[in-house]
Amino acid sequence: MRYLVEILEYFGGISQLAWRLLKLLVRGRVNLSLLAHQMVLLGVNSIPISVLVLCFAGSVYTFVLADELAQRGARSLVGGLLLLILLKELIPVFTALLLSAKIGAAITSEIGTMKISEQLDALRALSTDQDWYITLPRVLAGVLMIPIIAVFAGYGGWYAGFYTGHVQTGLSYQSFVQGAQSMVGMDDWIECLVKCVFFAGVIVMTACYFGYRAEGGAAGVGRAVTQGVVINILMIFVYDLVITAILD
Amino acid sequence: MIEFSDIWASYGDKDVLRNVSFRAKKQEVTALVGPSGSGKSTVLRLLMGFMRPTRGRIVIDGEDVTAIRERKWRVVRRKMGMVFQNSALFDSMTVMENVGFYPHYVERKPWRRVRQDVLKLLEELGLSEDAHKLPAELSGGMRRRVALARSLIYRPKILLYDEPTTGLDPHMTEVVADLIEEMADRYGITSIVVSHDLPSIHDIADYVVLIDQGESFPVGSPRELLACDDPRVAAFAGAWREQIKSYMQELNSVEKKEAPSARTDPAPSV
Repeated sequence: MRYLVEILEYFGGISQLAWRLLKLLVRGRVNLSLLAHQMVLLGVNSIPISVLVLCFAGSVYTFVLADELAQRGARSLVGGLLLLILLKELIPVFTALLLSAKIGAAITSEIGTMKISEQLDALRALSTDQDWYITLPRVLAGVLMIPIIAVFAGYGGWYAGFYTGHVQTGLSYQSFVQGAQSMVGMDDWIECLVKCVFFAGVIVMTACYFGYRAEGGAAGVGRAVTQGVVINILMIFVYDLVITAILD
Repeated sequence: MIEFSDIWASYGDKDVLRNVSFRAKKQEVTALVGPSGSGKSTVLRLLMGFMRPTRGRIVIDGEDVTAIRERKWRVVRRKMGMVFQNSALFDSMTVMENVGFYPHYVERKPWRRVRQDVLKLLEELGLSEDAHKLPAELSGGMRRRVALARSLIYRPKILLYDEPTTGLDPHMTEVVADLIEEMADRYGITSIVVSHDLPSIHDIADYVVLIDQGESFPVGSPRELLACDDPRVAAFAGAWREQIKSYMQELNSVEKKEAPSARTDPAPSV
């Protein structure tokens, strides 16, 4: 019963947060320098690790695919299947999982620390809307930058996958690309983009939500970070299933 | 200026303030004193709109703020400032950025203009050399002064101080207490000081209210607090009186021992 209440509280809290952010956006209250600062912190600095992770993911999947397909005389499908998997799952989900740990945890701990040290109260005392100053720049930065990170990461997965396939089965780049062109359509690209943007919003809003709820000192901040990351991981898979079911 | 009428407040099921009432007059320093955990800081949280009372009325500068929404509170807070117990400086910002926060982000002044105003204020408070330091590099007294500067920069009408001298050495306690008095005298700021440290507020407070176990006992001047015969007030003041008496006795005996004895040595040759 307690868990059910907490789940309902979470969805209610996120909905209220989203509504407040929407009102700020509609009123045009975005501080561009705060946004730019967050875009560098959350986005630019996350590109290298995301590329690295997708390189390994792309290699592993190709490793499994290439061998099996080559044995069945269907080596030409490797590129197409890899790109399909990248677009539908690896790019949006792996990037989101990685970033929920990297930037989600950082956001929760930053806001949680501000909460327990009364810095959030100090913001309010200085007549500052904490959603305008803290939440909105981070959510917008995430929504704008995570898809861009996903593009870089996707390239990493693609080329790493090709290299693995080439080394393993002698697959040519031309064959790799032709397979992709025949199997992947515009709707797959759109699905990837929709998932990336949606996951970005969920990750950052969840991270902010748990940060604002932190209490009980340093241990409380630690608990909030853990809860935020775990809920983010869970929600990524839940929304992945929902979005795939809707768009496919 | 500030009216706190029949206020009840609670955290969950626990009442922390019960029927608290007091008035803070314009341009005066009102001290809320009492033992730790008596509810003094809760009064400040109510005055800043960080929580709502369950009953009663709060009027600030003629405006009933008891049930206003957060958006309206942001307007009311423009005439108020608060110095937190642990200063609550933004730890990833320098002193300059902390103090310049309000003029830059709320009043939307460009940094080049804000910088000049901030440096001028920091110089008045003896902090001009520390403008580019982070809060972690400052002493407790310096952090309190930066927190004060952060509020003073926009000339509030009302300043709230939460235990401003706690954790400071005697010299710094005197410096901060003098600053509070100066703010009231020079800028005409209405000040509410929460403290459990009677000696530090004795010289600066115009009016004292005792908060004990969530109830209020408006007393009068600090002298009247010491002379009050209400049992609760006398118990709080009495504890301080005993401590100060014991300290003064020790000090007197040390000073007597150190007094020079009659000269018996030969006068030194020139």
